[in-house]
Amino acid sequence: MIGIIIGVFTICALGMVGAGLQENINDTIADNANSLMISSIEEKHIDGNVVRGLSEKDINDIESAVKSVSSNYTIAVANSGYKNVKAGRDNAYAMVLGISDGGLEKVIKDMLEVGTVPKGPGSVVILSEYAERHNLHINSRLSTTNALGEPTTLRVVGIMESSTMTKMMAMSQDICLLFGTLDLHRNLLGTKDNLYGMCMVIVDDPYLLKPMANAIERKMNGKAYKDSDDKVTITNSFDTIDSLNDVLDMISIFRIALSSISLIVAAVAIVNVMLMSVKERTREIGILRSIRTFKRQILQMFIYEAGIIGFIGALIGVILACIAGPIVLYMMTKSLSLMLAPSVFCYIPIGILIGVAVCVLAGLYPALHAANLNPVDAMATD
Amino acid sequence: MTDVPVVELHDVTKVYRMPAGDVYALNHVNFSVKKGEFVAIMGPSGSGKSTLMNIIGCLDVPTSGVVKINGVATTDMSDDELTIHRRDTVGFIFQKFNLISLLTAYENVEYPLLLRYGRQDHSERVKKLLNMVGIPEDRMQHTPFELSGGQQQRVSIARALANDPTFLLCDEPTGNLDSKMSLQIMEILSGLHKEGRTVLMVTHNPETAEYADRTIIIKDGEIVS
Repeated sequence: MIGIIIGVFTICALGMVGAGLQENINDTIADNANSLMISSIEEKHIDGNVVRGLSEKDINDIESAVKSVSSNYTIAVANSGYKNVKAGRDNAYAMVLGISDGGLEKVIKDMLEVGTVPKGPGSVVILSEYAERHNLHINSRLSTTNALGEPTTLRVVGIMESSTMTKMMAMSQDICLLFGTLDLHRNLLGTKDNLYGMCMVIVDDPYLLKPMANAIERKMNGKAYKDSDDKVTITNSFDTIDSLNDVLDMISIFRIALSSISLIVAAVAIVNVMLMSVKERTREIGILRSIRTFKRQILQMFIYEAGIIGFIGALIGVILACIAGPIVLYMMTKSLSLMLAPSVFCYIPIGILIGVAVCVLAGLYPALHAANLNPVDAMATD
Repeated sequence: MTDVPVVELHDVTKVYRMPAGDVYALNHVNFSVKKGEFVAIMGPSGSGKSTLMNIIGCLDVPTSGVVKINGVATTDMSDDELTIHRRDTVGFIFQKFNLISLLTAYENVEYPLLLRYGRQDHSERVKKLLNMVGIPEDRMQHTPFELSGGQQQRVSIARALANDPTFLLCDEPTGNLDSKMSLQIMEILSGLHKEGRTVLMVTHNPETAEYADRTIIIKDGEIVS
């Protein structure tokens, strides 16, 4: 009994903690690494000037490539540029990022700590690190110059946490990121042509990014994985986190190995207990056999017994795991909401099923042994 | 049907293979028991009485020879067939009573009926049987541990009769009882015999053997008389 309790407890507790961690990391990946950034490296000649950027046609091509993989995506175009801004007395070099409407909301909404999504040419969202450093709040003003060189002020409407994507954009701690609409960009930096600096594809499932990137690569750069004469470069924010998954896989193998060992130990304990139980009742089995009990009825008796031991043991194990699992999970992730995730929750029935199955299997040998006892010999023992 | 013997043994031999050499527990034994007979089997210990009992009771199979119970040979039966056969024809009474200690007197008698019909018995049959062997109503819910030896043996007689067997097979039924209790048990067995039941009894007590119509004496695996 103790054996099976420990076995089931180990499976459940490890399973829950492991699944909870995986879930947690998946959430983190989904939050942070859910986008592709595509920028042009092809030189275009417009009105005699050499420029770089993505045309409307390029964007359409990218969208059709993305659509061929999944219809569950948001596509946005963005322009960026650099500008000096002043927050109070502090001067900062800022990267102004104007994103088209749907995309802006998608990029900002989940990461917004306070405030709203910016609208119009005069409002921006800044990163929390920058806000703290320069003591900025909602409705704080930043002063800068517009595209015509006239002084203008920007209103902070939201403060957001940083993510993998923002870190990739800012590249340096000192650069302040200003998120806003395309109008903001046009207001501050003007537009020379109808090209966009960057195209973003945002998805909910980060595992879609790889095939999407490949599809875009094929469509835009000719053959996939061909390096020369490329029209665009694609940055997949998921790549940075991909290696994390390898570590997780290793952890889950370790988890399975550990719980298998405890299950084997439990099985040995069950075989032992059941054999003792058979031994103790040898005489009784002999009597039962002599007064017309079938072999299979004896077999059933012991298998039922093993099943009941298994079920009770598994139940206790699961209950203990339900106490220990959340405690450990809470200590690691500081959140209990993960306990309700299906992949975590499903370890409860799985634990009970495995516990009963192991017990019945372990009980099979002693049960067969009992059923095959010679009634005469069995009755002769005391 | 009356001329078909209840138990019939032809040339039955049982050999126990031992490292020190084969032991012939039974050596070409022939005998038969007719319906309604009360037969006592006597012999010193080690003479093969118990082996004979086990073979008649379908608990064991002979090395060679034919055992016919109710005219049916048991030699080629599978284990399940033997169990069914045992259930329907043999009522065992043991020297050590062999009641199931977890169950009450009533449940011990009910058990064979449960095995046979797969449901509880509502026909008061169990109570009738227990009354017949002299277990008072207030003792029926006691476990064997709380009953005297004589009472335990009475319960085991009731259990043996539960399935209305063709014959009763008693292995030293009075071996663990004092003379007064023995007498009472033998009166019950004798009464059953008078009602027309076939009784086979192994004993080494000449007094109990006197109740029998016929005594078979066995020695060194062979029938002497």
